[in-house]
Parts: sequence; C-alpha cells; structure tokens
Amino acid sequence: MQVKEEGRVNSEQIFFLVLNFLLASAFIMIPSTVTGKAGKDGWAAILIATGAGSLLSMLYTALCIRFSGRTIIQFAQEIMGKIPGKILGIIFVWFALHLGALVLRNFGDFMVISLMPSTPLIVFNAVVMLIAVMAVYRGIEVLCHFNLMLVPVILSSMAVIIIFSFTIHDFDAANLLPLFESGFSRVLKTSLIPLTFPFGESVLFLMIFPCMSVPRDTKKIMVGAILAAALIMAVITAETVAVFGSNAKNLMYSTHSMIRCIELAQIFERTDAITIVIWILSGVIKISVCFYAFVKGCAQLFALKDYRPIVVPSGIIMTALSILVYENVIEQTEFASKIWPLYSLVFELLLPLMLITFDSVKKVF
Amino acid sequence: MILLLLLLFAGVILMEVPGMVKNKMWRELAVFFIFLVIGMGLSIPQVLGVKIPNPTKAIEAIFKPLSDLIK
Repeated sequence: MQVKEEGRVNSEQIFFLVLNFLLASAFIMIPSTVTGKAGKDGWAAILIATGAGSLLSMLYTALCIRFSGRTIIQFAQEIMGKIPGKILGIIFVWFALHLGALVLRNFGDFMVISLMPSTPLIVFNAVVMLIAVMAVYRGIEVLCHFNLMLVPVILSSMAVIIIFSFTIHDFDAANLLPLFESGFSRVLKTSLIPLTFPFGESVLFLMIFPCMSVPRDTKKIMVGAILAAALIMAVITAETVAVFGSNAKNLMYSTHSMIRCIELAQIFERTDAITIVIWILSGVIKISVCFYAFVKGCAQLFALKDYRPIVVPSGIIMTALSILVYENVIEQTEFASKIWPLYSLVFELLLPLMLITFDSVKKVF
Repeated sequence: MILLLLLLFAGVILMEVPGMVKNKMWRELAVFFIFLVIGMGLSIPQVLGVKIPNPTKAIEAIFKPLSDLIK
C-alpha cells in the first residue's frame, strides 16, 4: 500500500541538509527575536536551547531508529491504529505546510522590506516556491545534491560575516556586560524561542531520515548539526549586541543591519549582498524541506503510488497560504515571538512524545 | 491578475492530467483535483480581494491565554 522510497542519501548529505535547514531563516531572524525578549543575554538563551534541542532531537532519533525505514506518517498508523494514526498524520502534515508557508512569507517580507520595497510580495514568494517545486519534483536525492552544492557558498559567507564583524568600528565586547541583567528566569523563558525555531522544526526530518542509507547515524547527525547551528547563531547574536548595544533589540533584522556596517579599508564595502546570498540559497532549501515533508506526507496519507502528481497543486496551496497568514510584518513578529513557541511545541514535542509513549506502553503489555 | 491565475491553473491541469490518465492513476488524479480546488479556494478570493478566514488568527486565539501565562 505504501510508497517505496526511491531515493537513497548518505549521512554527509543529510548532515548538511539538517544544518542548512536549521540555519536558513534563523541566521537572519533569531538574533533580533531573542535579543528582543532577553536583551543582551540572547546568546545565552540560544545556548540553553541547544541543550534542550539536543534532548528533543534524541526523541526524534529514538523514533527513527525504532521504526527504521518508515516515516512518521507510516509508524503513527502502526502505533495508534489506522484512523487515529491518520489524524495524527494530518496534524503533522499541517505543520509542514504551515511552517513552509511561514518561512516563505518571512523570505518574501525580508526581500520587500530591506531590498525591493515596491515589488509585490507574491513575486518573491512565487519565484522561490517555483524552485522548491522543481527541486522536490525531482526527489530527495536531487534536493540533497542541490543542498551540497549550495552549502560551501552559504557557510563561507557566514564565516566571512562572523570574522569581519569584529572589525566593525562600533564593535565593543563590553556591550555584552553585565551578564544576566534582565534576570536568569527571563533568559530561560526566552530559550523557548530558539528551541522551537529552529531546533524543534527538525521534527520534519522524520519524513526524510527513512531515506538514509545508514539509519544508525541519525543521532550523531542531529546533535552535530544542532551544536554547529547553535554555535553560529550564538556568536552572531553576541556580535549584534556588541555592535549595537542595547539598540539591538529594536532592530527588525539585526544581522542584516550589522552586515551593512562591515567595511574594510574603504574597499570592501556593501557587504549586505552577502546576506541576500545566504537568505536566498538557504531559504530555498528550508522551504523545499518543508514542502517535501508536506507532499510526501500527503502522498502516504492518501496511499498514492507516487507523490509527483500533487507537487504542483501543493505548491500553489503553500504560496497562497504564505500570502494569507499575516496581514503585516508586525503581526509576524508578534506571532513568531509569542504564539509560535507554544503552538509549535504541540507538533515538535507533544506529538513525538505521545507516539513513543504509546509504543513503549504497547510493548510492555 | 485573475486571468493570469486561471491561466496558471489551466496550465497545471494540461501538464499533469494527461500523464495520470494514461497511466490509469485514478487515486492520484482525485487527490490532485482536491488539492487544486483547495489551491483555487485559497488563491482566487485573495486575488479578487475577498476576505477569507486566516488560520493565524485562530491559532492566536487558542494560544494567546497560554502565552500570557509565561510572559
């Protein structure tokens, strides 16, 4: 009844796919979101979230190893029975669709606000969705190769930004002091933001891990990718605070604002093009992963032989939803920092936890 | 704009349907049309400027009380 997965991908490809997925929109969005809530201690919130995020990823890998070769849509039905399993599958698929639409919207918003203010949002969203549709249409293997091709560009751009930010004129590490000014409990509460975006979002990889040629490696991959992504995000967050001081929390995209300040000997200027490179390349990958999880999940829910027929209509749904979800960017900031951390926990923590508990209980009796 | 959108839907149908009919993939065809109708339902009203319910608002209404608790 179920679709046989045609693609096989190796551990290295998956590692970079997870890493890119985690960094994609978070690299631009996370510094302003966490400093918005925890002030100059935002970087500490990211580090706390890393610990919790690693635990969360253990949960995913435990499920993945226990049900190797099957996606969450398939093993949810095995654990809970057909109808409840399908309902959980629909909930999971909704998460993939909604997350994809939100990332697509963030992508378009950033392009409109900071680059091309008079171009309609739909232009950016539709173009990026078209690339994602093309990538997913050709399957997971192509998506992984595509990602592996982009990763060197993305990571080296990030390295350039992180290193050259130290040379910014206003850079002053003393801006980070005093530590825990706003209180430790505030930092702890803030850590819920990076935990659910981006670390917990990797729950979508429960749709992709079954394609791996060596399923044993998932734990190493997940923890490794989370640690690497967290390190990069924490450093960049600390740098934005060091550059902007207490103003960092008022900026919409503080990473982008910081990158604009980079100039070396009046020759190496206008580096904000680098942000756009990172944003476009990794944004496409993140949206493709969400889109793949959605399309693949739907194909398995409806027991289709092939997922390709529904790729294009799904792309239209995701694009239309991305325009619908927010009326303006203020609403997006509110949603991302207040509602998303709780809402997404339903899918990122509750759903997998419920599955693994039910399965363990079933094994005992 | 609306014409462009209808053209897009026509193009998608022309591109995908013949292959599915040839291979007798009826199940796929049914799901394809369900998704296409959902896609139309989401996109055509937006182009025409008709208000449709926003899922974000519903989610906000549910999770707002919880979020206020841990502010």
